[in-house]
This record gives sequence, structure tokens and C-alpha cells, in this order.
Amino acid sequence: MENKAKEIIIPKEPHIFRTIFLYVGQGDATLLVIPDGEDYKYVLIDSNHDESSGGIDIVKLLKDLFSDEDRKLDVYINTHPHKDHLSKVKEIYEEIGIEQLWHSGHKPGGEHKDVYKDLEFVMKKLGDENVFCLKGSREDNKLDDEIIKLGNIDYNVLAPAEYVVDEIEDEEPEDRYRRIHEQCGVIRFKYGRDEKQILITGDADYDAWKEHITEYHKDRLPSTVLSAAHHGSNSFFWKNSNTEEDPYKEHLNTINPTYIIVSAPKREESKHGHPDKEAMDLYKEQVGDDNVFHLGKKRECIIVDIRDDGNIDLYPDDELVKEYGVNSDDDNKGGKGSAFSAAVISKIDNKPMG
Amino acid sequence: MDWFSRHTNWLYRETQELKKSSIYKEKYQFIDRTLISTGNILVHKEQTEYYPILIVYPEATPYVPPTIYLLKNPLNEDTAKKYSTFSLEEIRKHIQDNIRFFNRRHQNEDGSICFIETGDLHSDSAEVYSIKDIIKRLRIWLSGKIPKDSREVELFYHFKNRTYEIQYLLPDLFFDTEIVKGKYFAGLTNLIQANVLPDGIERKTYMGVVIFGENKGGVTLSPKIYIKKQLILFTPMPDIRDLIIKEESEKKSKYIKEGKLIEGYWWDIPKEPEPFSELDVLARYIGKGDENKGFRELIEDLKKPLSKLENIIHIGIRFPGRWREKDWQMFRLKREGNRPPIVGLDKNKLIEELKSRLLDYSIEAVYQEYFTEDYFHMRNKGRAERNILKNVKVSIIGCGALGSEVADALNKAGVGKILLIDKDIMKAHNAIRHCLGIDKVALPKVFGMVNHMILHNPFVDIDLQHLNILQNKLGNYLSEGAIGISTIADDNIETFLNEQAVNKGRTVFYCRALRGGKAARIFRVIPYEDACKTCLSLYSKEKGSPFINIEEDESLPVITNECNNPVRPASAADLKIIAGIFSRVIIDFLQGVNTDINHWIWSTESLEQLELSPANNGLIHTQRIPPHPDCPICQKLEDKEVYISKEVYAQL
Repeated sequence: MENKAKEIIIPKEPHIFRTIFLYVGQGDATLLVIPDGEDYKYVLIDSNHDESSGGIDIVKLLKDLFSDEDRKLDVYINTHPHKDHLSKVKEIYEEIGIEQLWHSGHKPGGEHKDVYKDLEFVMKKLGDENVFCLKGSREDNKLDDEIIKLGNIDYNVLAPAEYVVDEIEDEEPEDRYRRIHEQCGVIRFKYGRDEKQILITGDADYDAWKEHITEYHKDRLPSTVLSAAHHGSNSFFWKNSNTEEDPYKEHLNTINPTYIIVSAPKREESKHGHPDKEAMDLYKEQVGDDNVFHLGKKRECIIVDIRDDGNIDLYPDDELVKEYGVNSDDDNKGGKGSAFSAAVISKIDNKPMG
Repeated sequence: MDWFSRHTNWLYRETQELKKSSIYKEKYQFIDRTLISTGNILVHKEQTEYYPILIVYPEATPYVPPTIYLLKNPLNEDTAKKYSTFSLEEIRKHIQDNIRFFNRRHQNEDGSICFIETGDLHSDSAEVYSIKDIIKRLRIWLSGKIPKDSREVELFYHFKNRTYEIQYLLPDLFFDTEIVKGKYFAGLTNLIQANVLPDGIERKTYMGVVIFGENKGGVTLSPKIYIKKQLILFTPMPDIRDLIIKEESEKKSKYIKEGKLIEGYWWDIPKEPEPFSELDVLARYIGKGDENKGFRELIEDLKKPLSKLENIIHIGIRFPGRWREKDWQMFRLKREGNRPPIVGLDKNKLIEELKSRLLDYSIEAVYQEYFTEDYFHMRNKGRAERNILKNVKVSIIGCGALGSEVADALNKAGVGKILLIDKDIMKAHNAIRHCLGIDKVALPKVFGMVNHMILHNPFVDIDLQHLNILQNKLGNYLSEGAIGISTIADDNIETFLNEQAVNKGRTVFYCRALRGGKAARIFRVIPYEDACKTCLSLYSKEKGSPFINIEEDESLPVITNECNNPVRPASAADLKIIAGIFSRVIIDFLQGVNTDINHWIWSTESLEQLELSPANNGLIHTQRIPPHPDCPICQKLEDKEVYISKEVYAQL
């Protein structure tokens, strides 16, 4: 029987590039369903497991998605090895399977060391031939010095730049820890004859954008959908999130998005106060209130469908959270109107005829 | 008491959902006489699109979903507040000038959305939708997709401009894919007189009878003509040569003028159209996306009626179907304005003039229903398969109260050939239990039944024999390969029938109502395999035999006619049940179901060998009764030649 994950995630027609910004509380997880001929490839960018704010249980969701099918995640992409972008990677590898791993090349220190061990475990299991480092490039589909196509879509790896990786690698653990968001993966995915773009930014911060990305990649930045960096944090606009200065907005103006997705819980549920009010105001100023989608506001996912002609459709979904949300109330699950309808409808037979 | 007082939980949930939806940005919500909500549906495409709507909750909430109107302009606070003091009907009237029509499937004539009106019959959950789900579906619809659509296409209801004055029945020949454009003729049917609608509109039903035209290569093909039952179902048509060859036939013109005949033009287009109300959209569809090409084709094909300033032009478009190969939508072009006839224009100017005249016409959708074998029998699928039953022949022996109902049921099931046999004339008092009514009084019952049955299933081949089987050979009414179905319920006549049928190897089913219709016996006789009627008679006299006796109910009145023939009392309710059970037994047998059983007893009361608890109001007891070893009819020993040698014979 078709489950919720299959029903909502798998497009009913071929040639649709579907991006699902999953609500995972304080963290990121974006599932890409990529057209590949008449079939689809599945790519997960980052993963988080947040029990405190009812985020989606990503392992449970993927198990349902691939149930009855002998398939794995085609690619797992980690923008940077922080816990809220990497949780459950080992379980995903062991219980669902991963064909390829793309990562930023950062080696973290501090509290994120343990979860990095999980990433290392997966890298080791996959072997060098299936593990690729993200390196900023001007070329389409260039990954770790090779051209690697991802189904029928194109992509640009914009960050981290190779020189940034080299520079940070040589630093002390403390500095490496501090500069992790400067070495964060940023990837733009493109599809459709009338091309539309989705920009994934991880937690890339002010330094990354100002020093390494905006100017160098200005032709590759414009994107229809922007996944706001660092859960709507001020660190996208201000150095060290210091809002006393004027915000840096060149990158946002260059990206020139139509829609902005902010992956964060409700501010009061976020231990970091994400999304920051000042950042949200700037996003709203850029695209308008109705075009900024804060996933935690109503605990919803956002789905973006791009057809092969470039036609785009963005819409919210609350059913995945209802079905796979950690600690979600079981009473809220079920079919259309079932929670209340039972109280008012006196149904006695199935499919009667008169 | 208002619905919101009776269903406060529902009211709470709906009003909350309206306020917090991510898709619907509510501006105003008022509750007075009616609960209304107005705001915008947000559709995020290239840019965010805003669609103002009005949601109105009817008194039958939550058993019916709210009505949703799509608006041209958002409502202001005062108007929204005022609407909440109106009834649903008053709101419908007031909102009409502000309705935005999308020319897309699932928008009703009054501007409301129809895909939320009925529950999903395939769903196991209760068929009630909260506003949250309805809004989701509306967003999908507004984004250009049709949410959870049906396989059936009934475009007619989605056109803004429709006519109710005429409608078509389109038979199989309209689905012949060889021809791709041309003309058609449809005749006013005899059987369906112009029915007058409640608002006084006379609706006439036309049957498509001829379609012709050219194939993809432009080669004109011979016409496809509907012949079957023409004389019974349809107004006599002009000669086919008048229709096709003689363009200016007087007879044809007369029929058209009198409204007995429609001459129309049609095109096959490569994709299902969206509803539309403008001719340029029609031209785009006919031109396969190229409006100019479509107009050229329209003008070329409609040159004659356009030049003649016809007030009405009938047209149809055919397109790929969702579950059948082709679907149709018929239209009527209605001329508006007044222009002089065209005289002396050169070719280019003529085309220009004709196009301008074509644009004088408004377009109205015309309802059509398919009159095809597949479409008719689709409703029986899974329980009576036309593909199996169409190859079967049955002889209904006896068309009384029981037999007429069985004939009707087998006809509706789609049994291929039905021969009706009965000797009686319909009398007025028969109508109280018979399938036929008093309009058939004085007709032989078999004649009346043919007329009755053809109205229900014109695809069954029905024939009749007005005869007494006692005076006829079996072959006259039960041919080889046919199954006999007897409801005569007269032991002498059925014994005679049994004797002949066993002898000729014909299978016969028998059914009789007993005890005033409180019980019934059904039995099958496949010669030499089943107990025949004489076998059953022998069993009935033996103790411990498998035969269950059903005693007469002596409390019931005895009615006889003048010649002392009994009239058995039973109401139509009893007889319809028995006929229904009998028909199902036969349909199952014909489809290879339960063929091991050959004897059925239905009873509403306990019988001597059939216990019925007070909890059961009617029970069917099934059995297989083998032939009786001493049956003189089906176990009769045949003469055999015995050879005895001379020597032995001498000793004898």
C-alpha cells in the first residue's frame, strides 16, 4: 500500500524536478527528487533530528519512501559537518543505504566531533571512489575536478573554494571550528527549458559570501528559490552577527530570489533564536511577506516542482510532518477530515449504492 | 437551529483553519445568518499569484462542503459583512457580477467550484472534507492542474455557456477513428419526445445516425450509418442519398426546418480541450494550436452555413478520451446581429468576410451522452460481464409477473439474445404485478415486453413468439445452444417442457413462487446431470429424499378465473425478490459461477426440512440433487440389440 512518503514525495509524472525542504526543527534537510530519464534519482542534502521541536524523523521517512524498492539514496550531500546538518547519517547509511557522498572537506572540532565520526564511518564504508569533495567551480556539473552529471538536471558547486579548504585545513582546531561556516558547501541546482534554479547555502556565513562567493560567482548566483543560509541567522548579513553595522546585501541582491525558504523551528523553540528577526526583515524586504517561507512557523515542509519546460510550482505540505514528525500526536494522523468527521458522519457501510 | 449551533466543534475547527492556512490568506470572516470567509488563495508560480475567493457555508454543513466562488475583485469589509446576513441563495445572486470564470473544468455555471461537492467514493474514510483539504485542492486547481480527477470526461458542465434546448445521443459509429473530420446527421428520436424542463424549456434529444468525412490523408470515406432499430427508435429519416449526395435536397431542408434533423460539422482534435466560451479558442483547438490555421479550416468547412447566414450552426469536436479512445463535445453556434447576404467578393475578401461573420456567432456547449454498447454495460461490470453474456441465447418461456421481471433483469444484464415466449394478452389487472403497465393492455405480453425491454437495453437482440408451447415443437422456441427459462409454474405444462427438453438435450431453469410469494423453488435441469422435473416428482414422494417439500399456505385466499384456472396471490414485492434471485442464479450460471448447485429454495419461514431462526427474514437453501435412478424421462433405458448364438438359443 502506498504510504505518505511515497504519495507526497514521488511525482506522479516523469520529468519533474521536485525539491522538498523538510521541516526538521533546528537544522536542515532537503530532499531532491531528480528526473533521470523516465525514472528519478534521490539526493538528500544534510539531515537533522530534532525531538524538541517536532521535526521530521528522516530515517523513518526514507524507509517508507524506499519500502518495497531495492534502492538507496543516490547521493547524500553534507554542506558542512555540524550536528544539525549531519544527524543520523550513519543510520541512513546502514538502514537505507547511500551510493555516493559529497562533502565540504571540513574536519571539525569541539561538540561536532562525534557526529563527524559518523560521517567518517560512512566515507570509509563507501570508499574513495564514491566520496567527492565539494570544490567551487565555474563549470556546470563539476565535482571534485570531475564532470559528474546528476540525472537530467545541472548544478554548480559554488563553495567552498579549494583555496579556502586548504587554508582552513592548516589551521588550529579552534580556528577550524570558528571558520567552519566559511568552508560550507553552496550548490545551485538548475532545471527546465525556461531555467529555474534552487540555491542551497547550508550555513555559509558573511565571510564566505563576501570574501569568496558573491563576486567570483555573480553570474551563477541568480536563483528562483533561495534556501536561506544558517536557518535565517543574521550571520548571512553581518560579520559575527553584529547588527550594529549596515547589513551586507550584495549577495541577496545578486541571487535575486523569488522565494526564500527558512529552515528553522519557531524562534522560541530555537536555542539560537533562529530565525533572527533582523534577517527575516531583510528577506521579507527582498521578496515580500508572502514569499518567505519559515518552515517552523506552521511546522510545514515546502515543496518546489520544476517541470522540464521550466514551469515552477511551490506549495506547502503539512502531511509529512503529521506522519513523520518526532513526537507528533498520533491522533492527528489519518486521512482527510478523519479526526472530526467520525464525530459527525454516521457512516455505516462502505461504498453503498442506490 | 443553525448548523453552527449544532456542530460547534466543526465550526471551531473550520474558523481556525481559515485563519491559519498557509495557502489561503483570509481577510474577513463573518458569521450572522451565514458563515462566510473571504480572502486570497496564494499560488506560487513564476511570481506569487493572488486569487480572491468567497467561501460560504450552507445550512447542511458539515454534511456538504462549503460553496466557494472565484471572484474578479476582492470583497471589502462592508460587503463581506452584508453577505453574512444573506442566505446562500441570496449570496449566489448578489455575487454573480463579481464572478471570475476560468474556462476550466470543475467550475460551475454560477462560478462555484464543483470538485469539492462530492466525496471520494473510493475512499474508506468518511466523505467529509475540512476546509483545509478543500483549500489544498483549490490551490492545485488554480495552479493549472486538476486535483484527483475522474476518468470520466463530462466537459459540458464546465462550459460557461450551455444550451438546454437540445442534446445528443452518440452511437458507436461516432467513435470510428478512420475519419477525422466531416459532417454528421442526427435525427429527433421517436421514443424520447421533447421533454419539457421545469423552467419551460423544451429539450429535444437527437440521435446521431450518420457520420462521414475524410481520413487523415484527406480521402473522403463512405458514410457510417446507424441502422439498428432505426424504425423503432428514430423518426424516419430522409433517404441517405438525400443526406449525403444531394446537398440541396428539399426533403432534407424540410426536416431540418421542422427540427427533425440536425446537419452538423465536426473535427477530431489531438488533445482534450479546456472549457471555453470564445470562437478563437475553438479555432486554436481545431488548428492544433495555430489559431489562424484553425480559423481557415473553420471558414472552409462552414462556408455554406456562413454564406447562407444560418441562425444556428451545429458542430462537434472529438478528442482523445481518458479511458475510451475518443470523447466528444458538441456545440451550437448562434448568430447574433444582422448582416446582408454576401455578394460578389473575390476569394481573399470572401475569406475575410466569412471570418468576420463567423465571429458574429456565440458558442454554446450542447450535452451529449454516449449511446454505445461499452458505455451502457459499464455499469454492470464485475457482476454481469457483457463480454461473456453477449454470446448467450436464452428463451424466456412464460412472460407473466415473474417471467417479465426475469426477462427485464437478463436484458439489463446484457444477455446477447433473448427470445420471449408467451400465449397471453395483457389485461389491465395484470399491471398490478407485471412489468408492463396499462398502456399495453390488449397487446400480447411478448409484444409489450419487446417494447419495454428495448427502452432499457437497445443492444440486446430481442425476439418474440406469441404461442402456446403445448401446441408447438420445442425447436420452435428453444433452439440448440439456447438456455430455457420457465416461469410457467404449471406442473402439466412444465412436465411436457421437461420431457421434450431432456430428450433434445436442452438446459432449462425453472422457477415458481410458493406460499403467496413467501417462498420459491428454483431448479436447473441439465439433461442427465441434474435431477429433471420428473426426478424431483419421484423424490418428493420418497421419505428421506433430498427433496424439500413446501406445503401450501391454506390461509391464503383462493382466486380463480371463470374457467377455474387458479390465480395465485402474491404481491409484486415478493415476485420481484424471487425474480431477482432467479435472475442472479441464471447470470451466475452463465458466467460459470456456482455451477455445482442445481436446486435453490428461498423462504421467509421455517419449513419442515429447513430451519429458519427468527433472526432470519428470508434464506436461500442450496442443493445439488442428482437424477433419480428410476426416472422414466431422464434415466430411461434405451433398447439394445442382444446376440444369442444358435446353440444357446436351441437350448433355451
